[in-house]
Amino acid sequence: MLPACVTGVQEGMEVSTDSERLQKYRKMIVELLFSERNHICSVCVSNGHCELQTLAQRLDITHIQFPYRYPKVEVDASHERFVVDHNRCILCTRCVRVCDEIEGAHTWDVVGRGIEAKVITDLNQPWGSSDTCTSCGKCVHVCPTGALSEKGRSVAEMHKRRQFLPYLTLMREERG
Amino acid sequence: MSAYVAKPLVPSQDKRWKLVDATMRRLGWQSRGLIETLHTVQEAFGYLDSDALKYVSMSLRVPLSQAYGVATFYHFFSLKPSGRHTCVICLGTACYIKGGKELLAEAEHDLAVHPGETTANREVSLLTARCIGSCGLAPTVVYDQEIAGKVATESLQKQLARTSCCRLA
Repeated sequence: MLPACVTGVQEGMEVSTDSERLQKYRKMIVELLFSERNHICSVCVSNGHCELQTLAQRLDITHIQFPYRYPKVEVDASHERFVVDHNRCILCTRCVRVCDEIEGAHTWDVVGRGIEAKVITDLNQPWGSSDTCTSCGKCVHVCPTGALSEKGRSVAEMHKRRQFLPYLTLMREERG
Repeated sequence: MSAYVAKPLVPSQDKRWKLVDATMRRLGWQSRGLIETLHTVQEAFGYLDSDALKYVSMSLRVPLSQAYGVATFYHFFSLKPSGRHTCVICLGTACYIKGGKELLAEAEHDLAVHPGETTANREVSLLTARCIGSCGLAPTVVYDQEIAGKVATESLQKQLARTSCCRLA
């Protein structure tokens, strides 16, 4: 097994991306994501529009073979328009990247390391008290799960819109 | 296109900020000097408070959250003032097998703190290390920068009792 991102293409190469072994590992990784925090689809704002949920369905995951960790993590609803629920965060760091690379504010970052890592705003302060946040909402819309959502959304009501994002960067490049 | 932003004001009249400024000047006020500058702050003040993090990140034009992330990622940095004494218990593989875990449990019980915390009377900070490179001496404890090897629970107990000023029964 070779990682695709660092394997060069060679003549006569035969590539298989969907063997039984790979499926097993993929399943395992997604199951580990589920066991790490408290992912409860039935009460989630992103139920039905969640990338993690979709992935689990595609991989036929019906149960988690690992013990759940049930960590005690907080929900921060201090921002006037958005909510961050760390229970549903999978630490993909898309919010960190979009905030830094596209919005340019770099309000988000990852704090700590290993199992204790989490995303924070500014100096680990409530999101609502952040001076750098521009409330643009890009982080909310790139978030694959219900970890970042708009305030006031109920179960399964959070639809992510991120079609505009590639255009933002393309238009900026056009302008030079 | 770059706007001129004045250097932020020094948080206090403390002379130690001159050391911090000197480090940043030596590195040409570049954002890549973040870790080295935080090292200077840590060594001069013993910990990084939010004023220090704000001052350094504004001076070097580093996002606040990034500075905070760096400060929490590396074990060298501490966000709270440490105690008069430090007790580092190694939890590397060798030390862990030879009883580092028990030593930590003992210290946690005696001092009534978790790793990374300082006792209420500001006497002892309890820390853990991944490996201090003295695996032959396992289990090891670094008490006030002094390495002790093959540490038994009783000797750690005595050491802690001696320095944490009769707090312990």
